[in-house]
Amino acid sequence: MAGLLGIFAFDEAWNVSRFLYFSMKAIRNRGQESSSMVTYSTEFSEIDGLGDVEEVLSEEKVESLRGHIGLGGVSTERRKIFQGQKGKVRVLFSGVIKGVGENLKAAEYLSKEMNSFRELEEFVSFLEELDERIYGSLLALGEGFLLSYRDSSGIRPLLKGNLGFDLAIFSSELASIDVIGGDYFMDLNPGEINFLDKYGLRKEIIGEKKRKFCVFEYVYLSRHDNVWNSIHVEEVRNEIGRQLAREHPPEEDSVVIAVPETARPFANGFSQEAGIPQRLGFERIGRHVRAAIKPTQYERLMGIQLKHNVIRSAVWGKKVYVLDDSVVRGNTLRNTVYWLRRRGAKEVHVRIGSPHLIHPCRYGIEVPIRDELIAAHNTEEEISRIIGADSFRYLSTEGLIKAIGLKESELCMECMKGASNGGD
Amino acid sequence: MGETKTLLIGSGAREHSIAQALHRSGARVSVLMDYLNPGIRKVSKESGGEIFLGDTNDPGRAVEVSKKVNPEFVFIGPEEPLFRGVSDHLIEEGFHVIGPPKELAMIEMSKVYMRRLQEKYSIPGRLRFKPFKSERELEEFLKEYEEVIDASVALKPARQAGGKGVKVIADQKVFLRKEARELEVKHGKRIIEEGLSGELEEKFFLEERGYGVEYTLQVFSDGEHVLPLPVVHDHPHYCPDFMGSECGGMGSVMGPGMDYGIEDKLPRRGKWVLQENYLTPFINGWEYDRTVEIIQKTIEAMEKETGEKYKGVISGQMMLTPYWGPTVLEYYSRLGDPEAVNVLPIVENLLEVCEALIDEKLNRVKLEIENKATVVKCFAPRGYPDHRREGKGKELLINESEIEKRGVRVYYGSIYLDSGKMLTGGSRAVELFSKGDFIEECSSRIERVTEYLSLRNWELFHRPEIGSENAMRIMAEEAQKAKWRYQRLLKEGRLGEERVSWLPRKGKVEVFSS
Repeated sequence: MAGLLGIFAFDEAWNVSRFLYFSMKAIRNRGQESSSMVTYSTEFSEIDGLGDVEEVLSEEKVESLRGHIGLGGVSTERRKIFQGQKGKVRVLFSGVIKGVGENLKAAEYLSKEMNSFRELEEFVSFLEELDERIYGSLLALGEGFLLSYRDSSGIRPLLKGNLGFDLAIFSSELASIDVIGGDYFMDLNPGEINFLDKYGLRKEIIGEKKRKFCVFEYVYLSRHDNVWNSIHVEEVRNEIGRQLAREHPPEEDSVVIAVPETARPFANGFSQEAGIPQRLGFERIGRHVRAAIKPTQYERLMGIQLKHNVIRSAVWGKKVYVLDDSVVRGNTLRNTVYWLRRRGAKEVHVRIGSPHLIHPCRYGIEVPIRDELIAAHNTEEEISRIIGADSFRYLSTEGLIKAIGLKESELCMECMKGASNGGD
Repeated sequence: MGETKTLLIGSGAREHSIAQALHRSGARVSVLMDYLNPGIRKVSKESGGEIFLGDTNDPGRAVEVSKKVNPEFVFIGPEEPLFRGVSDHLIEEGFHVIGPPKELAMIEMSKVYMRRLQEKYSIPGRLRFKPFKSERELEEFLKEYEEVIDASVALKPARQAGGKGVKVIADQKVFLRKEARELEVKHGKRIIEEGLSGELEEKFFLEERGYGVEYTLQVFSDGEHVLPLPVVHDHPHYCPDFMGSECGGMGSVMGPGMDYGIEDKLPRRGKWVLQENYLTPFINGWEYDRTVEIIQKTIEAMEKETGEKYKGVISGQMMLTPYWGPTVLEYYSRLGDPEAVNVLPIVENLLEVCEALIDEKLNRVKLEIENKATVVKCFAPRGYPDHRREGKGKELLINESEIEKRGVRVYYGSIYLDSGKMLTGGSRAVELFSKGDFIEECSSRIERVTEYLSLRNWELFHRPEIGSENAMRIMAEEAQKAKWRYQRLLKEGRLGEERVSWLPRKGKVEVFSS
């Protein structure tokens, strides 16, 4: 997975590098293994590094970059984002090109193929040709232009917003637009290309694949403050919590706690619907790390153990309903249940705000291979035993669809249902 | 053929719509224009009028043509002739003119004059402002002005320069203040170097940035009475989806739209509002009346200052803001472009209105206007607004009959006839007009005819989303945020109160912005 950000200033007197830097803080949730920034004035200047935005970039480093157009990217791959891109078009891509590869590899391919393009028409005909094979969102920076594109399946988000009359901002996250003071925003529609140069913004819609909005964006990937396909992510997550409470009502004299950070709105909704109190179950030690997108088991467990320090008073002697967003391998959840009991929870009931994950993602999200997926091999009862909980329940796929509020035919749920759901 | 002889001065789409409305209500329309606008030419000919070419800013030429035509009145379309004293010269020669003399056109020409007038007469709907003579002065001022959350400003040339040089600079985040400040100083310097404020001593000024939805209220004034037109919403960004710098406006909407379910509890009906449909989805009766009141007070204040009666059109370019409700961004001493094109095509008695204006009897005439929503979208050659020269001299290919068959009307702007060809002048070339029951419906109707106009070997662009559901929803949300706040202030009698901040050791201080 990769996080995408692009900024274009209509007046060349602006230097956008510090805007990019602050905006990038809001796409950290989409990759913490590599972070890069590139700007263009009369030539490209870039910072390409391994690690989290905060490790790679700083206000001082960013000062050296100049230009009125730029890109900022983060990735879950431990590999410099622009290392294979030395031509005249720099590309950020989140998704997959069939027959080429995923994310950074696909971005490199696009950077080479589009290297000589200068006009919107050239991009349009190239991307139209590629429509059948490309799933994802992309941003491209050239000598004096910025291009943004969301493929016709619409699988990954890409939003645009403005900052007054001065800047156009494109990002995977609405917060990137907000953090620098941006105002109006909207989605790029599936198949929409925006091309910005000194003449302004031009738009085209291309391609005709069926819709395939990734449900995992709503469950886990997006920040709570994101809005995608005009649907507010926090609202969906609150509804997921309510749906969970309806599907498996909790016992009366219990409490609900959220595994931070993604499960917080689930717990709000669960508590509101079931009428049981919500308590603060965990406090973080150290800075915010997205443990589930870390590449190794050691790092994931370390992340979780630094993230989930149990607060005794919230759980002592109580029937605790713990809400989490998803289960991949089950190890981190086992750790959570273990520590809840050690700190005095009487019962531990686990509720997951998404259906079971049984297939890897073919569209560039790091869901591991089938052999590593606990849900592909175990029932809810078995998982409950493995993680040491008193009960364990997923959200139903119907419940998830209802919470999102879109038609099932518009959603991609392959990781939960397999490729039969409109797979190709 | 019309009986009443009239003379129109001006060459664009606004004048095309004025000519047509005059002709429809029985006037013979002669015209003085800078270039041969095919639309105006056609209307003028049909009405039995004569066509004169020449510099519309030249008072001598205007007097000469007026003497030939001997019209009942002269209608001046654009602002620049007013600034150059064309109205004054015509009045001196005994002609009746719709268009104020230079002294009154100051309300548009000098924004500093306008703001000072508002302040002197305590007219509601003011924005804070501060004029500067040099960018050094500005730099000094900015140093003292750190302790605010939102330091966003509009930086404008002191003299109206066709919208040129106006820059709104967003500055809401302390960590990006440095960039904003640098740009403000750079831009101030640019205004001086480009000579945009000409002879004026104060070269540019800072104005606090308003938030909310923009609208234009165009008003006929005979000096004693006013006759307001419906509210129109302009779209100043030059690119689609609210992107890009401010330009003359890429389209505008008027009349009823869809209901977006956004709370609005104040009564929608006001005394000026003869029909509910005069209102757009975002402006209610109180807001409409308040805007008329602001404009009337401004006209009265100008009369007190100059001893002159305002005869012509005055348009409030307004914004519904959280601290005032209706707030003045600027004034036009004329009809707006494209806003005129929203209204005039459905006005049946423009000639009667003009005659009443000349006789100072506007109170006796009722505006005959169709009860419709209208949408105007402007089409400009690639290069507009910052690289106009590149978009000049391109040939317009247009199938007017196919467009009109589909219920859309064509108004010609910066287009001139040359050896049988229609060529672009670099600015907004064509404006398409559609009327219907809802704004959204009109917007789609225009989108269905865009294949019938293009430029030979050059791109012609427009903003498809103007009047679309998405764009209207965004505007409705923006308006609602302002309403929640100002309606509360109104109830508490606190509209427009001083904004203060509290600083450790200094106590309360008035701040320029929020």
